[in-house]
This record gives sequence, C-alpha cells and structure tokens, in this order.
Amino acid sequence: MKLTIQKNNLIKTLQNIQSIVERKVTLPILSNIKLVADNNKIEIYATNIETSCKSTIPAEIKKSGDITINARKFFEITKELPEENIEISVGENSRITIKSGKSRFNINGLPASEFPSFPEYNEGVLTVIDTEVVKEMIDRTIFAVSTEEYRHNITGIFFEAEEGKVKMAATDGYRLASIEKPTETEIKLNKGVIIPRRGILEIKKILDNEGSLLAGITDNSMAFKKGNTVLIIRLIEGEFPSYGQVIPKDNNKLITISREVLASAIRRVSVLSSDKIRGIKFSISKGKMSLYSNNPDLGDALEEIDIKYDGDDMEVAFNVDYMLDVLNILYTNNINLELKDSGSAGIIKTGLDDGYTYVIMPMRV
Amino acid sequence: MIKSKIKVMPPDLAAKIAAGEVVERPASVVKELVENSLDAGAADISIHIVDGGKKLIRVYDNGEGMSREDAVLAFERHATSKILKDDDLCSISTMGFRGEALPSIASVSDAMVATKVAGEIAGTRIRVRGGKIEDISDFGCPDGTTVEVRDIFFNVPARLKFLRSNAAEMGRIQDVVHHLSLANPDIRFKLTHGKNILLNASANSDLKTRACDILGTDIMRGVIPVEGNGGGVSVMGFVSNSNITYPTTKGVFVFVNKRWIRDKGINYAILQAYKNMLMRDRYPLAVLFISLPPEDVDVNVHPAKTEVRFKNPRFIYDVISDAIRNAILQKNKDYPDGTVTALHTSVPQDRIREPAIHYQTQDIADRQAALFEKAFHGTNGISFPELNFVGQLWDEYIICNDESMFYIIDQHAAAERIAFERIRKEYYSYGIRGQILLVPEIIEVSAAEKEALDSSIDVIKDLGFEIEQFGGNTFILKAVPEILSGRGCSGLLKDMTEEICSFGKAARIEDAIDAILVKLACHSVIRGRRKLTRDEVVSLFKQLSEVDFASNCPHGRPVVKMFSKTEIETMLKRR
Ligand SMILES: Nc1ncnc2c1ncn2[C@@H]1O[C@H](COP(=O)(O)OP(=O)(O)O)[C@@H](O)[C@H]1O
Repeated sequence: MKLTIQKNNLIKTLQNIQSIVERKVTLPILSNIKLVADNNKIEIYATNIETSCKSTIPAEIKKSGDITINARKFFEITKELPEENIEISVGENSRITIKSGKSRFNINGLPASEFPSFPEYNEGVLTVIDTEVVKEMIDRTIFAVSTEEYRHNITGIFFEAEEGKVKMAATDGYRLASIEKPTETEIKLNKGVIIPRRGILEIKKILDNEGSLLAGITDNSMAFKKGNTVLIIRLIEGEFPSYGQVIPKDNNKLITISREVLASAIRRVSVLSSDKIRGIKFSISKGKMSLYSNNPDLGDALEEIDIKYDGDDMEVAFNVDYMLDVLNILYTNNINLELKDSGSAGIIKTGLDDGYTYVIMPMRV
Repeated sequence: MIKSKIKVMPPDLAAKIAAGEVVERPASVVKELVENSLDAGAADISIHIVDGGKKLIRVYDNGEGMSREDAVLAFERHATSKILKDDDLCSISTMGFRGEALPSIASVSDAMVATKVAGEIAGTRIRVRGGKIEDISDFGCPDGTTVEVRDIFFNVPARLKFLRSNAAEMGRIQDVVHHLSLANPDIRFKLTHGKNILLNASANSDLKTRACDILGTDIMRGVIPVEGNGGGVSVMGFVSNSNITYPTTKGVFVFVNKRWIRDKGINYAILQAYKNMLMRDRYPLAVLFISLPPEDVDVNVHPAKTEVRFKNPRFIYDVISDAIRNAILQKNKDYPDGTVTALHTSVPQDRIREPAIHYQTQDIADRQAALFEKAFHGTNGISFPELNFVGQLWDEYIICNDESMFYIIDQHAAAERIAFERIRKEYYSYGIRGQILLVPEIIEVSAAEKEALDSSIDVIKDLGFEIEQFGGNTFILKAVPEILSGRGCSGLLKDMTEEICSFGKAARIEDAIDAILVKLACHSVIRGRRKLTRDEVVSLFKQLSEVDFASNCPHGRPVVKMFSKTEIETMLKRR
C-alpha cells in the first residue's frame, strides 16, 4: 500500500473516531483503525463492536492495499506533521511509514485481515431525515439518558416513528425527556428502537458534515450516513419503559415562569444543598413561588419569585439538577410548569407547539 | 397383621445418648416432626403454624405411616425403630435416633397423631395431653402421618414465658424448614403461617431450584457452583461471588451428611477461600453439602444436633476451602474483569495456605484487626486540613504527611465515612427524603425477607424508601433515598432487609439503624479507583476534619493508617 493524502482531509476524521476506538481493550486490534486504499480514495474503519464507523477520503493511490494502525498514535503523529502532503506506505511485516516534509515515522501495524468486518448494510433502505430536526431532538433528550450501566434498557435514546411523526425519549428513572416532530419522509419502523448514548454522541459529530442525513434500520443495528461517513450502531436490546403512561394527563395547576429567573433562583438556593442532597422545596401560591432549601450542616436558604398562577396553594420538592438540566437546554423566555400535587409527576413545557415534554418526579418531603 | 417396627431402647443405651431437652421451643418441635416425616420416606411434607407455633404446629406427611401398635409405642419414652444395639450408634444415617422426641413433645403440649399405613383400611388417632394418653381410636385419614401440637408448654409456664414474639419464633421455624428443605430438594415442602404461605417448594427439584424457592431468584443469579473431594470427603453446592454478602453467617448453610450443622471451623474455611475478596465481617452466601463416612464424624455432641465433631477437622476444612477457591478462581478466569477487586479486607493477603496453620492464621487476623483498631481510634488527633498532600497511590489511596507522620488514607473508606455522618445527621434531623421513581421497580424477595419487609415498611419509609406490597413475595419500590438516586438500589434493599431481619437481635434500635445507614452510605459513594485533583483532596480533608471520628463506626474499616518518621527511619536502618 502506498498513497499520498492531504493532512487537512485526514485530520478531522481521525479526531472524530478517537472516541469510538477503545482505550483499554482486551482485543488489541480494536485500538487500531483499518485503512483500505483503492480507486483514488482511502476508507478508514473504526469499531468498538457497538459502534462502527467508515469514512471515505480522497487520496492519490500509488499502490492499493490495506493495513491497521493504532488510532491514537496515528492521530497524534498526523496532528504534528509539518506539511500538508502526507505519504503513507506499508512495507514488510506490516511496517507503516509516514512521511511529510522532513519528518518520517515508522509504526508497526497489524494486518487488516484481523480487523472485524464492517457490518453489512443496504444503502437502498436508508431514508433522508431532516438534520436540524434530529439535532434538536437529540439535544433536548440526551441529558436525561441513564448512565447506570446495569439498567441497560434506559442507557440510550428511544426512537420511534409513526405515520408522519418521529419521537425520541430518554429517562434515567427519575425524569423523562420526550419530543415528537412531524416528518415528511416516511420512516419504516415496526417498533421503537433504543440507540445507545455513545452511539448518539457519534451521530452528533457527523451532523455537521456536508450532505443530507440518511438513516435506516438493519437487523439489530441502525445505520446513519452523512457526507463521507457511515455509522452503524448496534441497538440496545430490551424494552424501553412504556413512557406514554408516565406522562400525566390531569395536571391542573398551571404555572408560567420566566426561565432565566427560575434557573438563577434555583442556582442560588441550591448553593446550600450539598452534592448529594439536592432537593429543594417549591411553595406555590397565587402569583408567587418560594424556593427553600435546608441542609443540616450549612443552614437554609429562601428565595421568592413572581410567577403567573392563580390556583390553590401547593408545595412540592424537586431535585435541583433535574430542574436545571432542562432549564439549561430550553431556549424560550418562559416555561410552563404543570403540577398536580406533592406526590405526582410534574411537567415542564416551553409553551410553544414544539412537541417537547419533560416529566420530573418529585421528592417526598 | 403388621409387624411392629418400634422397639423400646435398652436403658443403658438410652443413657449413653447425650441428655438434654429436645423441646426447647416451637422450632425444635418442627425439626423433630419433619425429621420423623423424612425418616418415614415422605415425598410431601406440609407444615402449618399458627401464632409462631405457640398455638398450633401441624406437620402432615405422606410417608409410611404407623400401625396402631407402633403409634402407641411411639409415645413411650425411648421408643424408636432406628437403633437396636450399641454398634448402631456409630453408623447413624437416619435423622432422628434418640426415640424421645414424640414423648417429650407430648408431655408439654396437647398433641394428636393421625396416621395410616398404605393399604390399611382405617388409620389410628391418638390424643395425648401433658404426656397422658387421652384417647385412641380408629380414624379415617389419608396414608401417612399428621401430627398436631397445640398449646405448647401449657403446663410449663416458665418455658412459655421464655418464648419470644410470634414473629421471632416463626423466624426460627422458617430457618429449620429452610435447612431441611435445602437438604431434601426432591421432597415437596409447604410452610404456612396463619394465612400466609411462606414456602411452597415443589417435589423433585434440584438444589438450585430449591435454593431459588428459599433464597429468592435474584440472589441465586450470580452463584458459583462448587465441587470437590479428597480422601473420602466430598463437597458440593454453591457460593456467591463477592457481591452478595451478609453481615452474619445467615447466608451460610452447611450440611454434613445431609444434616444441617453449625461449625466455626467450616465458616472460617469458607472465609479463607475468599481471602481478600470480602469485606471484614461479611460472609458470603454458601450452600455446601459435605459427605463423609459416618464413622469420621460424631453427630451427637450437642442435644439439638446442630454441632458435630470431625475425626480429622483440618483435612475437611482444607477440602472445603480448596473446592470453593477453585470455583471462584475458575469463575474469575471466565470473567476476567469480575468483581473481585472491588472489596477489601483487613486479613493480610500474603498468607500462603498450609494445612497446619488454620488456627494460627486466625490469631494473625485477630492481631491485625486489633492493630487497625488502634490505628483507627488513633485518628482523633489528626488535623486533616493541615496535612501536606504528597500524591495518590494507584488512584485509590491518598498519601500525605506532616512534621512527624506519614499517612495513607483509603479514599473510598473516607468518602464512605463522610457520607455516613451526613446521612446520619440527615436521618436524625428530618428523616431522609425519598426521590420518587418514574416507573416503580418490582422487587422479588425471599419469604423471610418478605415478613421482615411487611413488618417494617414504616421504618424503611423514614429511610427514604417507599415500598408497597404487590402480592406474593413481590414488592414495588416507588421511591429511593435521595442520596442514592442514580444508583442501583435493589441490592441495597436486600441488604437492609437483612439488617431488619436481625433488628430483634440488635441490642439497641439505634445500632440497627446505624447499621442500615452504614449500608446507605456505602452504596452512595463511588467505588473503585479514581484520580483526585488537589482541590478534591483538600475538600475531602476539610470534610474529614468535620467528622467526629471517635463516634461509633463499629463496622468500618480504617480510613487512615499512619507511620511515624521514627518508624520509617528504623525500617530503613537509619537509627
Ligand atoms: N411421621 C411419622 N411417620 C412414621 N413413623 C413415625 C413418624 N413419626 C414418628 N414415627 C415413629 O415413631 C418413632 C418414635 O419417634 P420419635 O419419638 O420422634 O423418636 P425418633 O427420635 O426415633 O424419631 C420413630 O422411630 C418412628 O418409627
């Protein structure tokens, strides 16, 4: 294998795939990426079995061939190379030589035959979906995904499509973020799928590639293609909780608050909550909300803010992190808080017709 | 005419057998009756209890039954069909052998036996009250034997007063039934207390299925099978990995020749096999069946027959330790990043096992513990915020020093310690707040745990949990303590139930609550390695300095270990 390639073309791909390549692995080949040179292009493959990625970059191929190389070393070297033109060649015993200007590096590679094969997928079944919509849906849900490995069925975003609509939902068992958007293209999905969090982060990275976003399901994986990159993400097996049921329908205490005012009041009051004890109490009465936190070690804090509300008095406690998380990702000036009583789920919405619903479970006081 | 199988024991033989009361409490009655049923070859045994056995104990079996003559004889002292001459005592292989159970039981209660031999037309019913036969009659009943014992100790008020609460007595009965049913998985066992079905284990089960019935399917999920033998001794059964542990030996079930026994040496042999994988004062789950030639074990040491004397104890302990250790090692080989590294113990690691040093090593462990104790209580005087942070060892230990001392701080233990104080303060100041779950979690518990949970739902609520019964042995968990949100809780809940089961045993309720709070704290901090920034260390030191070290932490491992400069200088021969 022998080729020359532009540093500029190579570097972004190498950077993007670092997070796919495992650092500590039992299978050393998985710390490598596979390069396949042929037909004036080079294909770069990375995989951690769960997520596999293939990027195609134009290159001047002098001799076709393939090899695998340590992903991190390759990236670090490429970053430091002095010139735009890079020459890569493979000699005896999988020895790789990288040359640029006066620099020259030799690295030992491993034969490409040992690298896991890229999952099969059928380009024909991919459909175009709106990049902006996907981006918004991911951004508004991913923060609620559980990071507890043992509850694997909620360690990803649930993705569903039904006639004219796409939906995403994420939960960690204490709150739920869900969003639905209309779609023009028809997406064929018999049942919802759970896309692992790590895979979603990879999708986010390719969203600003050029071209339109294509997606489709193959077997137990989901394929995403944008520009020169294809991602195949193995879906999480298991049942996502039927979340429709946990979204309350009869919350009749409707409150409108300035998002910024609420967020900063929460931040101030929670100064007195420790990193473990995160509950603060919200007392709501006509036109007013007071936030209260107390901590046996530090003392208590109280703050009052104006709200739009004219129902009965009530009191409820929430974890401040679950509140701040959602306030931070919303963008409207005001938010709507829909409550029922101190022991039932609360709802946060933007007040716009944007399909977004956030459910937050209270704390017992 | 049916041949009589029961003989009255010659008096000298009777005298040879260790004396002692057979009937100590309802559980001992249950044990005797069920053992009789097993001896009678029953395939189906049902035990019904009312009021912890104080009101009624009824054991039904479908075994061989008794003829009228035998049944009458059975109520005479030292009547037994099992031992005929002195030599027989040495090769005891049936369960009961003293021939005094039924008469002893009948002498302190209102007892009734209804029994029929298969093929006979009518059965026999005998009523005995306070040892006096009141009635013998023909009786229509199914094949097998039913024994009813009512109003135990009605004529021995001193004994009656000695009995504990219904729940406590029932707990002991359950233990007895669990032991017997684990040892006999082929036999159907049913245990009811009033209206509650506590155990319903079907016939022809294997050990694993039976253990699931008793211990709960959840717990059985991660067990490791154990098998080993040597020199005529064989061991088989299973143990838990180091994730499932108990504060007492209550998860340890040891059977010698199918008889449940308690033996300190064996318990120690089990712990030895785990070496540094268990925390101090924690025991694994272990169900072990040890078989050895009857002449190598003396079962008659203790009247309640739960202790044995081995001819060659060390050898047996070695076989047990080896079998368990091999099983664990095999398991760890199969799953290289298993759970083995997460837990620590105070027992030194460098002890190469040699058959002869078991008891010596126990001494070392004790001495070591005492040393730690000293180090631990010595932490009072340390001024943490003033310590100079030197660095971190293996991302697990903080190394620091001051003028004259060098300190190693276990960061996990320190974090746990701080969390414990915080939770404790919270609990006593306004109760621990619970975070409600979006979708309630379903939890399956064992029968014993169910009773414990039932009786303590309110206590648990103060701890931030919210639990509701769902039917059978299933509960729904609706809220978890705030401090735990985001962490797995069902394991903790199990652990807590353990503690609650032993509430009765704790000297003070505060101790029991503290024990639970320790658990909460332990689950709330991140385990394992973590690189700490200087800021984090400073904040940890500050928090440590606010913790009152002298205050109770009977369960804790040491947080700090220190060496004086002099010690180090001596070590390096500078002095
Ligand atoms: N459930 C039973 N089924 C058949 N025979 C029984 C049963 N219970 C007791 N017996 C007979 O009664 C005898 C005396 O019983 P017991 O007093 O309990 O003494 P042992 O210690 O021998 O069991 C036993 O040896 C047995 O033959």
